[in-house]
Amino acid sequence: MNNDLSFQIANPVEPIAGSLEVSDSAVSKPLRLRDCYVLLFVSRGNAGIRSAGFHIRVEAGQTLLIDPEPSRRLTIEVESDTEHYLLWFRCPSRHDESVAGEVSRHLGIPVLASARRPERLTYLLRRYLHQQDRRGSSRLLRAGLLVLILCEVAMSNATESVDPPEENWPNTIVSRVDAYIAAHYREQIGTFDIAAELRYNPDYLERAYRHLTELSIRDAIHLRRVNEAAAQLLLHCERSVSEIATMCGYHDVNYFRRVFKKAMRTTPNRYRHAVSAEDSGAGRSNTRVPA
Amino acid sequence: MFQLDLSNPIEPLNAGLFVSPGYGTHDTRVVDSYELLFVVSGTLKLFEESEQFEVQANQTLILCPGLQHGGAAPYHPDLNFYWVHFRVRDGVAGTIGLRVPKLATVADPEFLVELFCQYISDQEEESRAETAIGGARELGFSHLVTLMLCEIGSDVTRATEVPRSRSITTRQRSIANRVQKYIDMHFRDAIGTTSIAAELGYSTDYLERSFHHARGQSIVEALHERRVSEARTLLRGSGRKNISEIAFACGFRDPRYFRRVFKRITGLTPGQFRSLYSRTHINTH
Repeated sequence: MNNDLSFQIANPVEPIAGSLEVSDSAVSKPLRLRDCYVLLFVSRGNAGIRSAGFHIRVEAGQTLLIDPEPSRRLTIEVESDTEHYLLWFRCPSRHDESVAGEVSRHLGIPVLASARRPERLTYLLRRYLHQQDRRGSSRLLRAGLLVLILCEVAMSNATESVDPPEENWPNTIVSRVDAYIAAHYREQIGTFDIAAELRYNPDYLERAYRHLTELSIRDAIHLRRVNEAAAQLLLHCERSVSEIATMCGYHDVNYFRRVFKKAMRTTPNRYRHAVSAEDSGAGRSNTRVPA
Repeated sequence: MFQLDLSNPIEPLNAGLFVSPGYGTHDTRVVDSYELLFVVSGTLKLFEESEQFEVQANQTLILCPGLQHGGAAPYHPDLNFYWVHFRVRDGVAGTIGLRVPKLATVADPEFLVELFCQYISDQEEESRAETAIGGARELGFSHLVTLMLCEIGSDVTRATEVPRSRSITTRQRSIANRVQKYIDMHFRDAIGTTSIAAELGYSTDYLERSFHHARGQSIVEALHERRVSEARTLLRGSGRKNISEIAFACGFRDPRYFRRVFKRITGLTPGQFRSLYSRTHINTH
């Protein structure tokens, strides 16, 4: 009677710490990386990550994933009336275990993303913190919550447009287009695809979108791609410009360079090097061991 | 893009909430998947092969594939339980073992209910979506069920963890328990620290100090937590009460104050919390 069952469960991540910070006034302070991945989620207001020479803006509802890089020194800047969550975690590498034929499911998690369901993300983060604060809390539960949080972030690149409420329809058009772009910008998409997908006349959609955002849909797609590329250039030094271009939906790296230059007023390489040169001049960071 | 291997041996099939029709008995059958049952109210009487199980509210039972199970008695009229079917795959690297009691009492039933509600809501959304939402969603289901198992399985380890004793006296513990009981019974009414103290026959200061020492939180905080917990239940439910009605039903007299307290405790406004569970699926057979 009452015999235990035994299950094998995945254990891909190691939770280290989590925090919720609410600031009434603008604050700027060093972001400790602790040799960990760091997930930032801004639930209200605006925040930014700055290193010598670069700045990534993270707005309400967005997430940013920073990978461990001991020499990097980052500052987190938050505007007044901002609420953000930070999660530190590690991914133990599974060396030798990855044999061919094994059932493995890799999930792509975007570096900078708009949460598909910010409420769900907030819920999971709160639960994580609740677990962390509890005496005798279970590490397994925290690891499980962390995985769900990462799945949720991964889903932000698989956004499906939900049925819009009848009121404020013009904003709904913009948000549906933006959601579609956020979900598909890595693919070959254009105004026509979006119009077909959302069942609008392409000319009407283009006019409505431009009227409300002062951007063409084409430009909005480029902007999304360039933003992701800029974040990756800084956060993934090991990746070449053409790799990053492909990941962001550009199959022609020269075309990507032109678009990037137009938007950022500098080339991808210069953008990356200008930043890393200033970065190395800034000295080594103090890597701390988590408490 | 950051690539993370989230392979998981747990492969859920589907989930739902069973609401007793007041008659009938669970079918006798053999299925090829595990089934996790979580009773929220009433009692579920089942057998598996030659064993009998009586699953009470806030308890879970796991039925195994290939074994015959069925109802040992007609459905209790108050019976409500969540269920999820899942399979376990072999050949996933880097896993760890988790021991889960076949029949367990859940330490944090609210959390388990919320995990089930999210599963069911996602499942409904998935079935309505014109195109599949994709791999992340599918993995999400699998990790949701894993988390349910962790919640049940880790129960044992958590219970053995002795709280750091700050020399809480028996008297303080019994006072705290009386206060908690009083809150549980009367949180819907206009009560506060002063009225609780008067009712239980202690001075407000003494009661507050004893409670705080035993629980590490003030009486008002405990009261707010109880009220918010009730509000969560109401918001999850399908009843179409509006937020003000829910505030009053939980003992808050000012909906704006309710909203503030709710947001502080859960991180979400009541409306946002409700949107987490927009879709449910109920079966009665």
